[in-house]
Amino acid sequence: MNLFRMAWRYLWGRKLVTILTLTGIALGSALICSVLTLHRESESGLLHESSQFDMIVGAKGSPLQIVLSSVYHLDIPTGNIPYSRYEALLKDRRVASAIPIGLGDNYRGFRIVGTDPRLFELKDHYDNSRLLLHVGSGRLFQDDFETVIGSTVARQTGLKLGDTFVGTHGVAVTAGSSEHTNFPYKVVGILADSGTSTDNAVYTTLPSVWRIHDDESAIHARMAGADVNPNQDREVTAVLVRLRVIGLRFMMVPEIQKKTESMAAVPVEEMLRLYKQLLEPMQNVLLAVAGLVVIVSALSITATLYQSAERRRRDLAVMRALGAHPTEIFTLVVMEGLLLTLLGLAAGWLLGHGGLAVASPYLRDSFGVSMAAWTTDPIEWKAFGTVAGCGVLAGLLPAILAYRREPVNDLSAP
Amino acid sequence: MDAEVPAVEVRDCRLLLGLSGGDPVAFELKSFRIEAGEQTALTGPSGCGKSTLLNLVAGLRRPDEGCILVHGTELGGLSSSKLDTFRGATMGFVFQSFNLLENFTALENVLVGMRFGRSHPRSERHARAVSLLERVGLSRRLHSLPGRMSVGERQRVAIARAIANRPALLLADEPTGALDPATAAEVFALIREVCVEEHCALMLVTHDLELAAQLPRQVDCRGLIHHAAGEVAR
Repeated sequence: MNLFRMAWRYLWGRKLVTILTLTGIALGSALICSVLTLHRESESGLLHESSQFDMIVGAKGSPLQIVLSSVYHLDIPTGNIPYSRYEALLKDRRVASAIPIGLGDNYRGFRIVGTDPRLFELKDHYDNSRLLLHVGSGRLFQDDFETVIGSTVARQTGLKLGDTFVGTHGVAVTAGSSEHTNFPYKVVGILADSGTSTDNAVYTTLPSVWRIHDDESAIHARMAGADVNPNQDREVTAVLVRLRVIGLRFMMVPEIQKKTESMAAVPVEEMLRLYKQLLEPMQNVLLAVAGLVVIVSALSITATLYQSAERRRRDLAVMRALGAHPTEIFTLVVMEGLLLTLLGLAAGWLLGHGGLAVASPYLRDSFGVSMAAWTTDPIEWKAFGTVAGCGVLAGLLPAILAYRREPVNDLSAP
Repeated sequence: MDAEVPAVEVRDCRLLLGLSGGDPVAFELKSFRIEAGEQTALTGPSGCGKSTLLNLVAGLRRPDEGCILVHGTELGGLSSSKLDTFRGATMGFVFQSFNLLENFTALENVLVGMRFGRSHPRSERHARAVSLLERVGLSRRLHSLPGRMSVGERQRVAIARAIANRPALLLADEPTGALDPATAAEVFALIREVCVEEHCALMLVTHDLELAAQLPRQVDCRGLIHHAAGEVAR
């Protein structure tokens, strides 16, 4: 009969209190797990995706808006820039690659992105052996109105290879938007799941977007009684730029700002700023709440063990009479606290990570955040170590009281 | 056991109990001894100090003067932790209220006693605990919790636990006080038998003079213990 088994027997002897205390610790540690994992995954996801391009060139406005609309397919674009700006960037010797994108329509809320096929040749910035966008099934678009759709689009709309659909005017679903029924798109490829915002986009050729809107402009012009200009200037919404040397952005961003009608934004800087200003404080609040839950749990352990030690005064006195050292009594009580905490932590780890694993498909589809739900960070182990330390501390007070108590008076207790 | 060494030897002990009307009250104990294997009944009315005497002999209280030797070892010379170890290995207890650990089965209660008594190697403890419980007639109650046992069965568990470490001295404080007469007689006989089998001296406190008369020696505590008021030397 070792002390561990004895401690377990005492915990099991008061099931309800033990389960309630365990639940408190488990909920606190599950919250810690979830917040830390979400923190890690959202930060790495944001940085990974925003670092794929060194610079985004778009119409003047909010740099964050340019980044959100062109990289994450969120927010409204700031406007369009002349196609000539894209051509100028292509000729710039400092530029390694420049990919134009044109926005304007959506299909059931998923943005239709007109772009250049070269986007599908780009390598992942972090892993040169991988393509940034990988066509999982089918092929890349070749002709206008052929599309490659993101994996989430395929899952949520049910579109399959060979299916056709029509786009709706506007980058988001709005009431009364007109459908471009004259220009049906055809699905020729579906992207492999990437866990990024590209899962939520529909890619097609840039001329497809132009042709739809040329037609629309002509109708508008005819309705207004004006002449239709078939040679109107082409425009793009933004240009995704990779530079030959990343540091060149410090020179090029102000240069574009001053000398042209467009502006440039550095995605990683914008996303970090957004993260620091908005997401980090929220996560800190959640972490503080989790910390409070753990402190309350630790106090609860102290109260539970103290009460238990008080109720067991006679048992502890009997053990002393049977030859138990005060240190053994001390160890027994502390072990109860530690056991309770470790069990709570294990349950919390399962609950936190399991919950994230269950929620993972929803998070991926809704927010484009793909996460390694079961990965445990060193910081999580440190947090757990702190909680375990709290458990030991919580057991110390009742243990010290039990250690100091003389057994003689408690032996005669009824 | 060394038959020459007495199981208990008390040499003029004095214990300060507290203050009464501003004056210290002391518990004075005359010298006496119990030989190895001897079975002695301590009798006397309630409040005469029988339990205090047992606690002193067990080392659960230390006298302010005088000394107590158990199986040749002076308890006052032992540190607190050594005294705990010595007590676990040399003495066994049977209490009136059994003092079993309620969360543990009968078998586990005996094993806990053996764990703290450290008298047997770990590998032998289980077999000895089982054989002792069989000896006291509880072979079918090994895995029962005390709360589900009769009072007689509980006291049998306490007896098995008390002798599990092969103590030189068994201290029994009113062991039949909570039992009906028939069960009391059985338990009393059992205590006597196991003490003989285990070569263990018995120091039994009881106010039942009929039971006491069945033991070879009876000591009336009124002649042994004196409560004194006045200056107490420390």
